[in-house]
Amino acid sequence: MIPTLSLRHLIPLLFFASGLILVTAFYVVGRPATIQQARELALERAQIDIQSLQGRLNAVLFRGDVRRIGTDIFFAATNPRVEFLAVVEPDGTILSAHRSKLIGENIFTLFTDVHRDTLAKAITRGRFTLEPVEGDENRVIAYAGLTILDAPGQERYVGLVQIEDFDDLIANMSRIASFSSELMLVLIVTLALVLARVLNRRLSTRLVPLIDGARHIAAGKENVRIGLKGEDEFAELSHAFDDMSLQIDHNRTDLIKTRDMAEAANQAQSQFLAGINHEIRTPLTGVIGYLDLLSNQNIPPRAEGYVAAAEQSARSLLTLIDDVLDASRLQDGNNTLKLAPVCLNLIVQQVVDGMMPDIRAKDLALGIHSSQSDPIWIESDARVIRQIMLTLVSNAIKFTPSGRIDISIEVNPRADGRNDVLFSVSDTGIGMSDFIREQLLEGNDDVLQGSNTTRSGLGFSICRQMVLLLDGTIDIDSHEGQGSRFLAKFVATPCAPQILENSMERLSSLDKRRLNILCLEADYLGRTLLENMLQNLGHDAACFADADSAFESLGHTLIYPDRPRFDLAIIDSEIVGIAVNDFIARLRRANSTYARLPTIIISTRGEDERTRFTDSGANGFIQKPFSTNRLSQEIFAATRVSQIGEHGDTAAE
Amino acid sequence: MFAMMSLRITSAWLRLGIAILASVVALTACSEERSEGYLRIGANPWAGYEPFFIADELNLFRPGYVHMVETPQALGLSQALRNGTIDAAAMTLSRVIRWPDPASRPVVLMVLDHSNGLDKVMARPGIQSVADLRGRRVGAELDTVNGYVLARALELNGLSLDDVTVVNLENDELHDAYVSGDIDAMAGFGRPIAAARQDGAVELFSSAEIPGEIIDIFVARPDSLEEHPMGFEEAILGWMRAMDTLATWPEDEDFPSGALRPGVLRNQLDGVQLSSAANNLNLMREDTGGLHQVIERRWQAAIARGVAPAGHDAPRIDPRPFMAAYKRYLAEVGR
Repeated sequence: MIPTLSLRHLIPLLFFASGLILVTAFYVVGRPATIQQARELALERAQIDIQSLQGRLNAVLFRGDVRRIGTDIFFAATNPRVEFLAVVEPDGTILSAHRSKLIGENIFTLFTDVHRDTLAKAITRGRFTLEPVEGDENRVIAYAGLTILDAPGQERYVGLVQIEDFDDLIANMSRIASFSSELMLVLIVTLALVLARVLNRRLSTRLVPLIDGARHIAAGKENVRIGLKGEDEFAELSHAFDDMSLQIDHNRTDLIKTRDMAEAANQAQSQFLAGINHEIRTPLTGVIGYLDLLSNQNIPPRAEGYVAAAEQSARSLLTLIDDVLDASRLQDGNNTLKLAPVCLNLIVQQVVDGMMPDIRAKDLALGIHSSQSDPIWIESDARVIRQIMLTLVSNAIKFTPSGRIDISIEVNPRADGRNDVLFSVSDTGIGMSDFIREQLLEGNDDVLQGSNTTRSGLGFSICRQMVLLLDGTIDIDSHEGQGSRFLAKFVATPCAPQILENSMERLSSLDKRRLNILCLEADYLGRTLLENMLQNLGHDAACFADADSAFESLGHTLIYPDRPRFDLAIIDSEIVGIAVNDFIARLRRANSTYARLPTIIISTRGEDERTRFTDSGANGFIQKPFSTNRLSQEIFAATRVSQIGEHGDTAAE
Repeated sequence: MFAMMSLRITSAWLRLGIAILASVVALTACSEERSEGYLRIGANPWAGYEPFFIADELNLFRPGYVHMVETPQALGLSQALRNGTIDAAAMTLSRVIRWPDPASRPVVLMVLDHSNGLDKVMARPGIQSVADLRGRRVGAELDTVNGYVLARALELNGLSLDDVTVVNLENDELHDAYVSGDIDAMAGFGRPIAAARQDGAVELFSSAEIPGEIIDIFVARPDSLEEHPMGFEEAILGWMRAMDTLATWPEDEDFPSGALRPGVLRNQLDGVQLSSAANNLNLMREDTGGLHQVIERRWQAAIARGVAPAGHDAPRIDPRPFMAAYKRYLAEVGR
């Protein structure tokens, strides 16, 4: 309790305790000493009393005036301390006493405390004696000798015995000592109370504003000032407090400015990255698309290699852009999970499909393993999982010059009804040292910089943060020259299998017909690429650079019988003059014929934008750049029509 | 919250402080009560005063308040009281009446006993009644109770002191004067009366015929009343307790040393009636005025005999100590 007691209670309490100790010490030491002193004083008084009486009695007795004994005894006995007073014969017979009824009694019978020997010494030797009563130190027996002159020359000797009770005297002395202690106690209590009161008022008026000020600052209030006047410690503390508060205000202002600047910079960076993304993806869409088209032409075998190298370089550049954008999003803290049913097997398949050219190029063996015979469905964010898988598989390919890569997915039910999901990628590649492994696990990709061991130095770091986003862990088991195994582990809720709209296995059994497709793409290169791809897929494409032209063409299909109506619209999200959402809305409203026209959005924006477009009425979404195959999948998903051109076989890959 | 807590703790401190202060004040008050010291009461060894000594020996006084001192017969008790050797005394009303100095005259506090036949008028055989005393020589100490008894006897029989020849003799001298033939009759008490009876004297009158007029009283120095208010209350209360003890004390059991044995006491009380608390209460009442009347009568008689100075008030009665003690006594005995 003491350590937490406030000052205004602690100080008076300590004062009170000190006083109490002082008073107790006085009681323990001072009072007994006073009593002892009182007893010594009592002995002295008893001696004076009996010597005085002895003198008076001896004087009258020596004159033979025996009748005067009674008078002197009366006067002596008026002293309230005198309990007993008698003149006695040597054998103890009382000759005269303070009570006449005692005359003739024997003193030794009456008082056992009166000692025969002491009385005898007093009578025969004239020895004066004082002794306390046994067991009662406050009572004193005094013995003295008297001489009676019965006749000239006839002396006889008797004794004088007096018992005095000093109880009152000693009690009074003790009371005086006690009273001073009590007075001291009263003084201490009074002072302690006054001290408590003064401290209470002082601290209430001086300390409470400081406490309130601190609370206001803690609550985030600005411009808090205590402003205590005076020259005491509290005023000093108040000034220091006000200075601190002022400094906090300055710091807060600076921090707000810095934060605003940082946010502005961040926004600018995001805008810049978005712009860069768009600017790079647009030409890359052309490059990859045309390389894709070119690879399906009859070209010399030597040129095939050139095309493949060019395509790989373009895809590397694309991956770099993806990494940079992902890193930027993670730094912004905008990367929140969007939970939806996810098929792990499908994601693996899609990732592997994308990587197949690289795997084939290195002639690596690939093994895909699942803990279950059926597809594994969980509630999670497909985009995040895809990113993790993509990074791990692409790294495995990158650092495995030869040998094999094994990908495995595994789910283990937990007690809480959820699943432990494990995703691992093993390779027989170059492996890594323990130092690099530890640095990677701590999120430091810089160790890989300059070592020519990664594409951007961002991949694993992003992958690791993605795993953390899933509340999961990632571990690396690697030995230099012996390959590596990356194991991502997270917890997810299982969910029921969903119908796969774009299942490749179903393509061959579905509708195959030529579609008339309206394409709206501002970029010339993109427009011609899209037209070529669609023609390659066996469809007809009418491409427009702006919305007005597209709407005009749509109108022509309604009023001119020779103009076939459109079965599908593929619209670039960056069309000039109108937002894509407004374009779709206008399209739906324009005519009942096109109210349900399937629409696919192509965009340089990421997959995370898909929902935004589908919520606006679009039926599909493709991120640029894309392959003919990807285009075919999305067209099928939107129209249930498979490709009919020469490129159809590639979908089976 | 802060202020409330402060208030609560401060009030707790205040309560503690007040409690300690109250305790100390109580202790101090006790000390004050004891500061008046002992009340010293002087009394002759006389049966009428014995309840005081019995109270002393049986510790019936509250400790620290009353100190009993036995006064030897030879001592001038009046002087001891006047000089402050003692604060209070048990004495006859006569002594108070003939007190020489009105300013220091003791104040009457209560009646201890009254003579119920102890004081007598005796005469030679042949003198048949008080009326026969006309013209006779009668021995009596005029300024004492003996003179009063003689005067009252004569008065009740239609005579006065002028009708007889009063020979002023002390009590102890009466028998010798009777034997020598100097006197025909005597007014006295105790041993001379018994001796005269043995010599054939006849009893003409006794104090039993004037009940309540020959009294022994408890008196106080005027200034000691203010100095020892508690002491007087304790003394009277102790006396009342002793009276009760005396009434119930077994016949064959001795009192403690210093007090008379019950048998001796009862012998000495022959002709004397101890005054009970209830009797005192009746005497003290101003309306019935028992004690006031007795004192006034005695006072006027004393003036008439020239014993008391004319032009002064009769001895004063202060009923306060008795009343305070009686109230406590009633509480003690459950009435």
